Amino acid sequence: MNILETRHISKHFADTTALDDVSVAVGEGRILGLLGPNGAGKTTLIRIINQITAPDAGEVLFGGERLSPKHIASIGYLPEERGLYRKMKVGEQVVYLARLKGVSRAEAVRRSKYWFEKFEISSWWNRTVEELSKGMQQKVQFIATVIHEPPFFIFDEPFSGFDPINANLLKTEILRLREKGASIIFSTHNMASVEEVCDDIVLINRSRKLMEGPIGEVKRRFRRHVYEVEYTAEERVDWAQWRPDLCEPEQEEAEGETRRVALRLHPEVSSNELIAALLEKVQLLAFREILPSMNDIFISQVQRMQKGGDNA
Amino acid sequence: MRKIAVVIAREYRQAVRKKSFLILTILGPLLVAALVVTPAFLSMKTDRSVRIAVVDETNLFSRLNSGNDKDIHFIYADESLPDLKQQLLDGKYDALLYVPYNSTMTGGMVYTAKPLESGVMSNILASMKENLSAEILVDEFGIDPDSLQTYIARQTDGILLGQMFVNEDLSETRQASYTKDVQQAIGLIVGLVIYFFIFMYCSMVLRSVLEEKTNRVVELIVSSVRPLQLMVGKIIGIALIGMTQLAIWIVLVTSILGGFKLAFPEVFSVSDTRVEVRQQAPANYDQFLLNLQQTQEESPENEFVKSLQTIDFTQLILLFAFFFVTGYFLYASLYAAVGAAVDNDADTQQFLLPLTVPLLLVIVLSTFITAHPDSPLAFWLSVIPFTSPIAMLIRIPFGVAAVQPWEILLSCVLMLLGCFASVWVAAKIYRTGILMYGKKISYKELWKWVRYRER
Repeated sequence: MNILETRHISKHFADTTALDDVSVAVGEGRILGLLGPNGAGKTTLIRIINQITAPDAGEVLFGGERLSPKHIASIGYLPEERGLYRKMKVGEQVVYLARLKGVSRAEAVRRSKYWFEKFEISSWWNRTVEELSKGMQQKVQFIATVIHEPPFFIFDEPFSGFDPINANLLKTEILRLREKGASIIFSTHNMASVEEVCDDIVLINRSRKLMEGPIGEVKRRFRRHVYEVEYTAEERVDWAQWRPDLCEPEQEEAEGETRRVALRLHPEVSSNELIAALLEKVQLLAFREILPSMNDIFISQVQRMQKGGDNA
Repeated sequence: MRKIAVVIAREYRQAVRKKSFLILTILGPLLVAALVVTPAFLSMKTDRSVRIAVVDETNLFSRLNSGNDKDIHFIYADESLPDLKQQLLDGKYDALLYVPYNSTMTGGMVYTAKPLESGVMSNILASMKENLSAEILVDEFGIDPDSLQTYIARQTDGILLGQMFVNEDLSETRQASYTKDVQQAIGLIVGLVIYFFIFMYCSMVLRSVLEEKTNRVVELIVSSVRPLQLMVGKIIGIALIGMTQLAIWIVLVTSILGGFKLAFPEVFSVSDTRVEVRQQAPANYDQFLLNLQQTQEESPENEFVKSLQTIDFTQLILLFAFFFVTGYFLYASLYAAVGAAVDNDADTQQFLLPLTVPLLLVIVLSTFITAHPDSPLAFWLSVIPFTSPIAMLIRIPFGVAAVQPWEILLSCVLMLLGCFASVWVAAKIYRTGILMYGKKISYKELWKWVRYRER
């Protein structure tokens, strides 16, 4: 069951196409990483889901229904361009933002107090935002995103500008939201955080969807059949000469007695065959497949499209 | 709707708490009070020389002098009475003393165009009593020189002095006619109030929009409310601040001026010279006036009140409210659009200029409009939505003679259309502009935003 689906969304501005037939889906209780280089159309897609702008074509479904203003209260949004009213008191500000999402005043105050205590910023309730440190402002922004307790969140570049401690706090809170059953779109450039947090990814480039899928599956799709072998051996093995019919080495390193080598198998060879051959040659300590990082996949895919686009 | 209310409440509370609001709320009335009180004080202290033309048919008062009061000058004039009355209106003289030849009584009539300051009438009377020419009495009136002293003593008690106002049209009344002045003053005051209100609170709208944009808080807000709701909420919130301020000002100004009037009554008193003279004159004063002049019949009610009654106040207040609200909305929405289109204060100038010029133009032309309320220029200024809120209100007090009902209707209809059009255009610019950063905006670009189709 998908909590959110966009179907064949297109959006044109006066002289540019921001989105071209983009369909994405966020599964219930899952975190979707929305990836893409700058200007790919991520922010436009997010704005369409937030009903800040409307698509030229296509539709958005929320919980199976056509997206409408009543769904605004069901979305928590942490924009990339985020700020607060500088002259407004912090507590009042959070209550105001909650009320705009349809929470009653009393309830908004109660929940704000809870979050302020949780983040240990209660003493700042009556200060104005301009008195706050950046890290504290970020905490307030996070509270403003979750205060109306929606089932669905959009975090646009959530870690940008966060110091490591706050970034970690944020990551923990995002994962906790998922544990409680929330679904999340997570838009970022930071591929390391994608691997840590996301269940699924969708890659957008030049206003088109490039690929999508559960993160493990995507990685396997781009597997290069490279395996890392950890072993000990009496004498140094010349891997290039060892079994050219099975594999070729990519990288070697040694750490005292323990040695490691990365072997790339020929496509028709299975890993079992390799292990069998290895057992005869070395004392095997560990054997595992090296999957490409999201960063590698991202760069290679975007570059491939760039080339394809230039050729076309 | 509930969300607009939340936006309005925030806008209102934030602004009301600002120090600048408090300062302006207190300083504003003081400034206005000072503007009213200072001239009143100054006119008391400084040069108040009064020039009085004298036409004496009896020659009894050929040696009038100002005595102790050096500020009063008697000037014997040769011109005819009508010419002198015209010169009064032109401001060449402050008063005209006319002593007609009359065998039964001695006395004169003082003609003025404006109310005289207190003391002038009694000063004239005193001067007349002191300088009664004995030779003329003996030669012309055949008074026995032996009984001259008794005669003079008796006669001076009987010298009478009346006062007449000469109006613009050379008609004469026993009280001043303020009609035109009152109409002009009310028109100008009403126009200026609207002008200041639009300027002050529209720039407040501009600042509020800019603040939201430069703080980068706006994207979060428009994910909760529609841009139009945000814009309208902001405009209404600030309008309410303006009304609060206006209400406080009215209370403060009236109480300050009221208190001042109690403390220094003489500063504000426009002397009622009739009463003053009547106290000194014998009982047959009114009879004398009748003899002296064929006075036209008029009601005893105060001319000032009468001239106020020429203005239809219900109409004026209704139209004031109408143009006040629509004019503010028209400009505030455009100011909001400007605030959304630019990234910082410095860039606002090029877009604000065309919004400032029409208002300034009307203010510059306001004296012309009051002088010629029925001119074509006044007509056009009062039907074009950008200038009509001020121009029409300046014309209204002049009544049907200057403004036909169909003109008012036309002006209101065009104003409503203009108001909706500007809110519509502004909303389009606003929704695109608030999310656009780091782009130099041209008029061409704005026009493109207006033509975007959404939904």
